[in-house]
Amino acid sequence: MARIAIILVLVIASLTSCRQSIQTNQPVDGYQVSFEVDPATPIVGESRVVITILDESGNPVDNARVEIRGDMAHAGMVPVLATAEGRGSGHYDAAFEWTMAGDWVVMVSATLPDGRTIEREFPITVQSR
Amino acid sequence: MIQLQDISVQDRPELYQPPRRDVLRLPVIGRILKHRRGRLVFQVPLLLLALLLIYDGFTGPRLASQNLATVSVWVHYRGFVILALLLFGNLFCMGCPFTIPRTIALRLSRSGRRWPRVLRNKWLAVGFFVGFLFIYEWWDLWAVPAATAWLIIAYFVGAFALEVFFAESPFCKYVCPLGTFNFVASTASPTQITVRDHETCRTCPGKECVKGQPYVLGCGTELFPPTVRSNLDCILCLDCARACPYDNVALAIRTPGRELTDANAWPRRWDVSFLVMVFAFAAVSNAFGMVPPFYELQAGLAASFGIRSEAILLLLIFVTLNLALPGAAGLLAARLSQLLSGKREPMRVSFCRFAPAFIPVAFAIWLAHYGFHFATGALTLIPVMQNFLLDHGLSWLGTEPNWMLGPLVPGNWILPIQTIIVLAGFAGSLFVGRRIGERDYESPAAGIRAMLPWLVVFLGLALAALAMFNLPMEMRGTINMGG
Repeated sequence: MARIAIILVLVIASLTSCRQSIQTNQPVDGYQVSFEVDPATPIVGESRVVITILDESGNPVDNARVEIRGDMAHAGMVPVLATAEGRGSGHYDAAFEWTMAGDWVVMVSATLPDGRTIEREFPITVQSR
Repeated sequence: MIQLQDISVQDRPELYQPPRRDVLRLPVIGRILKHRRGRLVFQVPLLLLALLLIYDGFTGPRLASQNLATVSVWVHYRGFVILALLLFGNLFCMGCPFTIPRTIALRLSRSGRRWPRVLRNKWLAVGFFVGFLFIYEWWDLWAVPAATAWLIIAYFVGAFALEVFFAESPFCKYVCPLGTFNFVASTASPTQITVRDHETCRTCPGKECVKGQPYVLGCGTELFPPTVRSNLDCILCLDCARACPYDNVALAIRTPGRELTDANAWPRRWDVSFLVMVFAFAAVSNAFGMVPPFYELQAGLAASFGIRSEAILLLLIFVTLNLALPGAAGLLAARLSQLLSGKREPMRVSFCRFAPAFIPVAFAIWLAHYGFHFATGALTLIPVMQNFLLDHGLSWLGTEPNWMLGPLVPGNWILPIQTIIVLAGFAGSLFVGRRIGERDYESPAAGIRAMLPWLVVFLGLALAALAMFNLPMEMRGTINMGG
């Protein structure tokens, strides 16, 4: 039994160590990413989302590749994916469909012109129609 | 350990019918199932799966929709369990990984005590079942992978601890909420343990099916196969079949739910009957937790009573819907049934008589609910597994997760399927109730009159379920990711 336990611990340790998401990425600090939804109180159905990115000095960041992923907080739902278009002055927007009422977690991933990546998470509650 | 003198076969051959079709006599399947280590064929894969879920629950993505623990447990496990119960029987308890350490625990518990007599009933099971549903809502288990992983660990620890302290399997029989669900639902299943020859059991000196042999355990829940009339309390471990020196135990294929109309199958006990009613009302309340009126009720209660604690609000709703309401509805229906039929009998008997008739409609509502999650999200497991493998540097299932995979069937099929299932369940309850009425009353008219109040309850449950399935789903309480 003890042998099995030791093997188990070793397997878990080796699995964990090769887990890529656990490897620490170089964080991009100081950037501000804001996320707004139109309408401001999101309801089930189509909406427009606006992302604004500012650097450490508060200057707008253009020419980034901005991807949005919305997941419902519970399991078993297909996520909503979108790529935002740049509108200048650090603004990016995209059409976004909320497929169910309830709690969502929106992940915004922005790949900056210099190749670095920023990820920010936004909790959103969507109302039913 | 149960004593030999506690086990006997009553000489009532009219209660016994030899099985016509026996799963254990099937060429390959029967041999695997009866093999000394046959249960491990199911348990080991589920154990490995449980370990994988614990691992991903703690180290994987925090989002429930991307984590194996939450997706497998709350989408697939529940879907597979209810389908298995419908199509075969209590397969999850058969392959339950939580009882694998049972052998070690049994060795440690040689001098273990018997489960206290005062707890040898289903009251505790009712409490744990409702408690589980409450914690599921309160801690948003469906949304928090780490909490789901802790839940799996708690199951292993709980099952092991009770086996160590008590010389039987009280965890399965009196505590486990999953087992309680499976026990009640399996009364509608198309298989049941029985024996091939009643006389062999009557003259059997060792009763190994219950007491076990040196290398084969006997029945953990202490059921004696020739006296089994119901799937209640049967974990389908098949230890009885393995331990029987005469190869006399059968896993009979029967008419689904046959025991529901069998007067000798169910004890007329408050606890068992109340458990069945709780199972039925919980089917509705569990689905109720997913629709907007649930949150409106919460907000209304909070405003009316000035309650800020979510736990207290949920407790109030859960105690009302899952305990008070079935109790009140059951007592009222029993009293009206007495008045309408003119039959003078103890309230307990009236309360228990039509309890089996709850099973079809209750089963149908659970099936429609869990089937919904399964049908809409079954394929989400594929990208989650792809993501898991890629996260470990493995591209066996592709180099990019296909997150667009999800539903098994088109969305507009779901509601018609749910409606058909619930109506079929209601028809099943009507059928069972009618048969019970015919069986227990002197005239068909009296039987129908006695059933009427129960029919109203069944109809209420079915209509409530249909109303909810017609509403848009809404999942809340998870905005802080369980934090």
